[in-house]
Amino acid sequence: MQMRVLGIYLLFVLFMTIGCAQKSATYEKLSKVYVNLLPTSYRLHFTKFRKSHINGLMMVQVVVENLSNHRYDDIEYCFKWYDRRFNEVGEYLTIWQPLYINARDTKEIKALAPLPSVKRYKFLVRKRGK
Amino acid sequence: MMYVFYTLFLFFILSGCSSSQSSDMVVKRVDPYASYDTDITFGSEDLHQTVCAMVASMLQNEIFDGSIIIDIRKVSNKTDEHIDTQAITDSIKNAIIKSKRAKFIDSSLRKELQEELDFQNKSLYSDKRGAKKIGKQIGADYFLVGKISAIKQRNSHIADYYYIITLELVNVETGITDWIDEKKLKKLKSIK
Repeated sequence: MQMRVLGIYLLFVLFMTIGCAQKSATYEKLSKVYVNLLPTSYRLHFTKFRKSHINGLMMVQVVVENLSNHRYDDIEYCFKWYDRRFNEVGEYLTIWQPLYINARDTKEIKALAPLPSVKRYKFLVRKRGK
Repeated sequence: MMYVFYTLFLFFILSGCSSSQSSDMVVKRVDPYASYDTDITFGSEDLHQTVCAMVASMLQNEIFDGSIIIDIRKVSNKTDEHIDTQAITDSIKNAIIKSKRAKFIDSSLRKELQEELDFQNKSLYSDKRGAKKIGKQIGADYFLVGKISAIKQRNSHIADYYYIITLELVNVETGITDWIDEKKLKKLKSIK
């Protein structure tokens, strides 16, 4: 009897672990709104990922701060948009935009989701031409 | 003598063929939304940036409430380049329709639509039971018009191209411009 209970308990723990692992993996992957693909030598700080709504569409504002003493003009960024089910939507308006920022300067980047179904976003930044 | 001539002839033909096949030009498929600047003139990258900026500006405006009907009219190309302005307006139309914030009509199709309705309703050859009704077409609330201008400067070291793309929505009833925006693009090319 004890063995049967122990077996059921172990099976229960196993299923719970598998379930949690799948959920947390999906969550971890898509909840990461900021993906920095820049070389480590780039001293940029991205802060204030603010989300609001305009005309029923999600608006995202990101503040970027150049911590270095020289201007960057070889950086580009893009926003990717996801619906409630984590499907990527609005790919036709997902475009890498250039980012120019002077030394010790701060800049605000804004982007409007192309569809009302957008619930999540991801912000990517990289060196131009990569 | 003839053999020498034929051998040389064959050698040139074969070397020509082989060089065309082992050419340095490599074709590869790339992301159509990634950024690739290949030339200083107006290219696909500029088109994408213009479309993104214009669509974002439109969708933020409160007149885009899902009920307005737009007819795309002329977008003039004032530059000396060939720029497919319809590609810009088609991409904008595509994005706005998907956002469900506006509807579009195409007035250039009116004659064809009229002919089709006449065929369905009046022709002896059509089945009238499935005919679409006459008198249900809807007129536009707004005309989308615009222009592309360019300022080009060049000296012995550098070429400077500056593009201004302006789009506006003109209210058909009042004639008032209810929305306008412009996208500026500046491109520099060093001349060696």
